[in-house]
Amino acid sequence: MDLSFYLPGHSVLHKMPTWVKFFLLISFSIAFYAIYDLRVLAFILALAITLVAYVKVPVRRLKAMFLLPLFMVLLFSLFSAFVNDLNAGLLTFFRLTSLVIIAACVTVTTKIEDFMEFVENLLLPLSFIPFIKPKTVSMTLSLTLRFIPEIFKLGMDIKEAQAARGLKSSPIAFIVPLIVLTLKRADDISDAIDARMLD
Amino acid sequence: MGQNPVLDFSGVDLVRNDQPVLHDINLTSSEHRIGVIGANGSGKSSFARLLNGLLQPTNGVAKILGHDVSLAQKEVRRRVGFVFQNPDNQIVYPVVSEDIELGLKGLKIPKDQRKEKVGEILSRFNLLHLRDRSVHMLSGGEKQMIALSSVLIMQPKMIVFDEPTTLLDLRNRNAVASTIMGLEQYVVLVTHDLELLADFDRVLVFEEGRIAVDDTPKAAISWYKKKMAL
Amino acid sequence: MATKDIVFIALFAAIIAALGLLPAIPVVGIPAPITAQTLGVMLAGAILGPKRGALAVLVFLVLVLAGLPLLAGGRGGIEHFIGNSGGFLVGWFFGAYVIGFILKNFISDTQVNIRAHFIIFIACFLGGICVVYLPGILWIARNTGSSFVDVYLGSLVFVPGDLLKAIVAMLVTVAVRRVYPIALK
Repeated sequence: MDLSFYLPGHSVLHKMPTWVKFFLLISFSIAFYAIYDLRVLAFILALAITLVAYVKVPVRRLKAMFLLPLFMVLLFSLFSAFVNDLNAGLLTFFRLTSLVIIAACVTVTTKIEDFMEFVENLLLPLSFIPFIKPKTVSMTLSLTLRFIPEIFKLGMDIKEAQAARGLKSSPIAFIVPLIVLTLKRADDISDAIDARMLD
Repeated sequence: MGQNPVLDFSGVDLVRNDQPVLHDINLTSSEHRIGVIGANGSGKSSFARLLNGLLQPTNGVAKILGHDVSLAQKEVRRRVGFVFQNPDNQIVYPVVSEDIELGLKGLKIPKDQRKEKVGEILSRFNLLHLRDRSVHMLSGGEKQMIALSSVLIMQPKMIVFDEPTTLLDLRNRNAVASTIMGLEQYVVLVTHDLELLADFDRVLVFEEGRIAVDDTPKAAISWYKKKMAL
Repeated sequence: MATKDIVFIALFAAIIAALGLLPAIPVVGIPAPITAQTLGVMLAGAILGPKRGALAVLVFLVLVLAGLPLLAGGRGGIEHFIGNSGGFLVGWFFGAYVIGFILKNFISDTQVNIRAHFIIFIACFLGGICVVYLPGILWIARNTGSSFVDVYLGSLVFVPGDLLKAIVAMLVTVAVRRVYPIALK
């Protein structure tokens, strides 16, 4: 199971520190809403599309990543054009499409490890709050990543077992064992973490 | 090795979830390898968990390598590694190298040194090719060896194994068995796999929360086999 | 937070993710199959309680933000927070909290009688639908420059499917309570 959209490469975006990318993205998402000139927004969209070409996202990934968000953007732009006017619809379309494209470029150029480190560093100044321990946070994230493929496999096994018994698939008969079997492991896993003195 | 016995239990009782699990365990030992056998529910797993402070005695004193598990939990954990039955519950990070170096992070060892140590421990078991693998892609035997590596990298003085071969096929069971026999650390092995204990120094048989037999492997195992045949 | 709480949070975040990766579940009487992910969000609050449930959702969202394709249909990345679904994703966090809060305060951790069924359903309706839709609708209204009421009326289409999920969430929660009750936190 491939759990990442990351694309290896050497572009400026690949080399840029994660926090810079996120800072820029947030700045853009605020700035674009201050622009009401359609020509400027169209120019920005053109730049965003150039960015995709520059990062060299393969077409297959493009489809997987963009199709749904762009369809949603289109839907909401039409909605906006319908309830307000054409200008509002176009504003929505240009702003959101540019942002979705730029955000996707950040996604494909940022390694998951780098992002996790970024989250950890982001939380560092907050570590005086007893609840927020950067180490705990990154361990929780890793633990989740570790168990996603296992729970997925467990789900497939449950489906198979139920099919073997000739049972029709019912969401309740499927989800209940999935949750119970998974949560029952919590004791053993937390024992293992404690035994390794990770606190 | 020092004047302290490795295991020193006196009058240890343990109650878990209002159920008595261990009664009046008294034991002194400095042997290299100790085996622990007994029926399901006999208290042997709880005994293993006392050895690294995962559980603490309800009454009595349990000292491991001279440290009281109730008072010096951290000291005990640093010196005693624990390998569980199911490595899937023990490996907490998604990538092999990340998981092995996890304990070192806790000791604040710098990144390049951590990487080096991970390389050393993996090459010791000829597992260097697994370094950057996703854990969920490994076989059961590989997972158990990774779990053991993540314990060994902390350089414990003693390692407790709780049924480490139960879920393995014969080939992997043999690989894990020969690794255990090659460890210079003190070993306490809880198992149903009686053949593993042939070359051990001492074997304890647990029965209803007490140590029923404490003898050589040969004597203890034959007593246990007779008992189970009844 | 004890280690076990952290493990519960991580495991449930992984359950929410796995429910999105698994093929959608066909339901009798509804033409389109429902994706189980929002169901997972309701269950996080109902089974783990307010704090751990909301944190499980938060962990899941952080991983989506990191670019993991964990949203139903294999989607992920920051673009989904900026697009129109962003408000609903934020709403999931608060929704899980509200569901857990209601269960924790109105029924005991092991209660499975008719009253418990009713309270769990109400909690999933309020938390899983009302609380989730509020930021979702505000977000879209801001993004499209439309009025709140227009967007509100537009999103009513999705309510029947979500009501069904609240019923499934209720039945699953009761079944889990029967075999493996967990003290809500």
